[in-house]
Amino acid sequence: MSKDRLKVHISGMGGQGVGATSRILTYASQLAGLSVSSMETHGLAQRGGVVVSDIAIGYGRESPLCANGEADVLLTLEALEALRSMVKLRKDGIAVVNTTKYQPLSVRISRGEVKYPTLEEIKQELKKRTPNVIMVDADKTARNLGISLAMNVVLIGALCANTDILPFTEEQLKEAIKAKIPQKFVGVNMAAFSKGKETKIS
Amino acid sequence: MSKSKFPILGDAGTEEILIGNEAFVRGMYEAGVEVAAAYPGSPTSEIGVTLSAISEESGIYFEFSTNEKVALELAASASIGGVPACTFMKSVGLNVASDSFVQLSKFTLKGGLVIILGDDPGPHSSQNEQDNRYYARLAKVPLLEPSNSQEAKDMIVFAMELSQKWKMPVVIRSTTRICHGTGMVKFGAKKSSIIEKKFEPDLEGGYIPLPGTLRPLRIKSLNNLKKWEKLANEGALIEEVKVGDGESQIGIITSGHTFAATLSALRILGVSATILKLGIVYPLPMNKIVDFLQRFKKVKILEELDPFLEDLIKVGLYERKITGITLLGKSSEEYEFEEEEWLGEYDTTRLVTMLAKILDIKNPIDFLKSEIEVPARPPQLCPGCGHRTSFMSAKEVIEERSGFSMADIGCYSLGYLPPYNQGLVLYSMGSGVPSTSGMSKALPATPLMSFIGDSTLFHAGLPGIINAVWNRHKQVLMVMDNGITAMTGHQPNPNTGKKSLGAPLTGKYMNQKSMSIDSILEGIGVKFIKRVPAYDQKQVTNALNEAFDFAEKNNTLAVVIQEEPCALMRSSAERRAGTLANPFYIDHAICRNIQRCLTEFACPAIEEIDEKVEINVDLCIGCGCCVQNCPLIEKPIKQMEDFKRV
Repeated sequence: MSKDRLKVHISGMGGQGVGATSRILTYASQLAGLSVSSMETHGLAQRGGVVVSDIAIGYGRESPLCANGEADVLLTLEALEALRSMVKLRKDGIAVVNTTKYQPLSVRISRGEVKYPTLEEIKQELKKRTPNVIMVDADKTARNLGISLAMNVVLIGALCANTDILPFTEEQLKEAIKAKIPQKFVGVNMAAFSKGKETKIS
Repeated sequence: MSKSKFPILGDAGTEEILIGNEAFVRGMYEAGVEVAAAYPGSPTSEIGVTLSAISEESGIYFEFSTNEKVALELAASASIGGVPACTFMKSVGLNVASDSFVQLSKFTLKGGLVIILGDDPGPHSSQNEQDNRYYARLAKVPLLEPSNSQEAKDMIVFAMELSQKWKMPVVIRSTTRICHGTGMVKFGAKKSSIIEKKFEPDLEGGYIPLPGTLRPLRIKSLNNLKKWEKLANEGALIEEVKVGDGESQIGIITSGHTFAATLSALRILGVSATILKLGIVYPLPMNKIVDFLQRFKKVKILEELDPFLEDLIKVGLYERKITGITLLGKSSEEYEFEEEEWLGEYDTTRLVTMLAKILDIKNPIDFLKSEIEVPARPPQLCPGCGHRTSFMSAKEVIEERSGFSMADIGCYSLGYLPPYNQGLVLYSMGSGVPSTSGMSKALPATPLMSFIGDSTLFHAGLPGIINAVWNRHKQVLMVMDNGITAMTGHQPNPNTGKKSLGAPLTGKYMNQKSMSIDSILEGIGVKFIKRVPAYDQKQVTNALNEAFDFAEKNNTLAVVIQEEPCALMRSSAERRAGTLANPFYIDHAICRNIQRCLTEFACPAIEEIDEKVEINVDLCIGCGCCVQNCPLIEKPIKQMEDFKRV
């Protein structure tokens, strides 16, 4: 595939920072001088529903939405959402998954009838599509740095260190993080990025 | 470098990545809009939020009005007085505004009026997926459709220019995908209105449509439409786009986001095709369309929802006696109605499938779906939401009395979902009380109640409430008073004032006092009004029981107002300030794992881990409402004494 095009599918739960993550990657593409558009799908997601954001880099006037099987990158902020979003991932793409679990209502009120899959099950399922699966306890890493909100930047770091398909440089990515988060959190987010980069494909 | 702290007020020539809703606001700014008004509604809510923010610096007067009809009448009348004006609303918002909207084309709107509609195919956040293009035909108003953020901005400027030139309203129909999609927008220069601000009551037939005065006004509005038809046929906002290097295998007529998704679909299919992209969707440029149809052997019309273009194009072909064209729309080749094509969005995946079938080629999309069942994640009431405790009380009282409840529109519509199952009939904004009134005529012996939020009460609730009092309809109404329009992202309403605890109130909304719902209901003649703290289920339950007894005894409407600021808004503000209460935890030494907190109270913070109940400390906002739902005398749900939120 060409190095100036990329489709990214980000998913998570309302309030987790899917939009903020999308804005960072969008801005990094802008810094690289590429055409970029994105689409957040949130419905009533502020109330704990699913949020997804699609980014199309280098696709001109096309819809930002990823078709099924088209996303080069799958970035999920909540573990179960990785499985729901798997349909978007292209063969041998890269999946970066935050291992944090938030139980949906359907699981919680089922008295054990509806199961939340284990992290190992989620990983093995994703491996059917691609060998490039990265499971990261990004919440823990961010919390150890003193700010759980930096979780998404840990994931971005993990993505950056484990693939060469990104159409922007690490420097542009860092610059985008700095530009899109409040000034006082820049230091801790740069640390979160570095910590994320230590993650390896498992 | 622009001097503004708001990127969307940047200088001409600047480029910014904007969501469609922000692009609309930039368009208003460039078009010289001076007055805008709206009631919040997804997918257009961010237009109001953005206008609120820039109102002072840009000089655009903006208000959140009580409902869409009020907002439209305000904006239209500002335009009659010579001011460039704008209003915007979600798809179903136009139903509310329609009574005045259908009159607009008869009036002389000399300041210019642009109306933005946010249709919601899917739907993502609406009670239906109505196709508002029909309203353009009904009301004799031209309708334009942008396909990305840049066009969203440009079309406002274009629409306003022509609105002012011909002194008539223009509609820009957007959809969720345009409102919420981002794209690069290149800014143009800001224009200032030179139209005289003056009311001329007799201008071009006046403003009083009555049986005796209507005819010339009707003729004027029809003639105005002809101007747009001519403009469209001259090629305004039409684009013919050739995709692929080979000879076109098919012609496609489309507009809006479907155009953008069609480009993706054709790339994936590797098919060459020619697209006729329409910007003016009503009235249609029929000459251009017929010419296109005659140049291609086979043409597919790609439009979401109803066959609006298709029906009009078929009429155009019939009138011109043109035959021998394979026009593929929403019916099969045997002309059977294909209902699937009327439903939902046309995203890329779906378009690839549709086009592959028509062209009889292999669908190249390759994907893998999880074989593990993925549990659904429906939206739910937030942790600490005062509606949850109220639904627990309502459920208890209504089940004990063998009654049931009716719904209204707002976060509390989610009460319908398990495990609460409250609110069983829902039409539209403000329908809860009238639907309860009607049900009481069918089932006079059944205890009935409904729910309404403060914003919905002011929007369309009051006429139904007045009717129930006037005509003595026995029922209980619970007002969910959280002091904000929560569902659409916390916009102010007449009840907001200081009680919102966290709403970013700016401009004229700052320090405003709330209107008293209690006094209004009292003034209407409601004889039972009891205000209770939503978090205290015992008080809510008692108040509801009293209300049902009163309603039964006096054959009337009784109201319980439960009060608690929106938990999402309050907790977000307290998180930022570092003052959010410590979370709770389960003391497993005394918990007997009854799980009522988990399965019946069902706060999102309460999870099941290894067959035991645990509280997710990130989600728990420390309200402690769950404790009162534990049946044990010694409560195992306890608040952490030492906890640092990071």
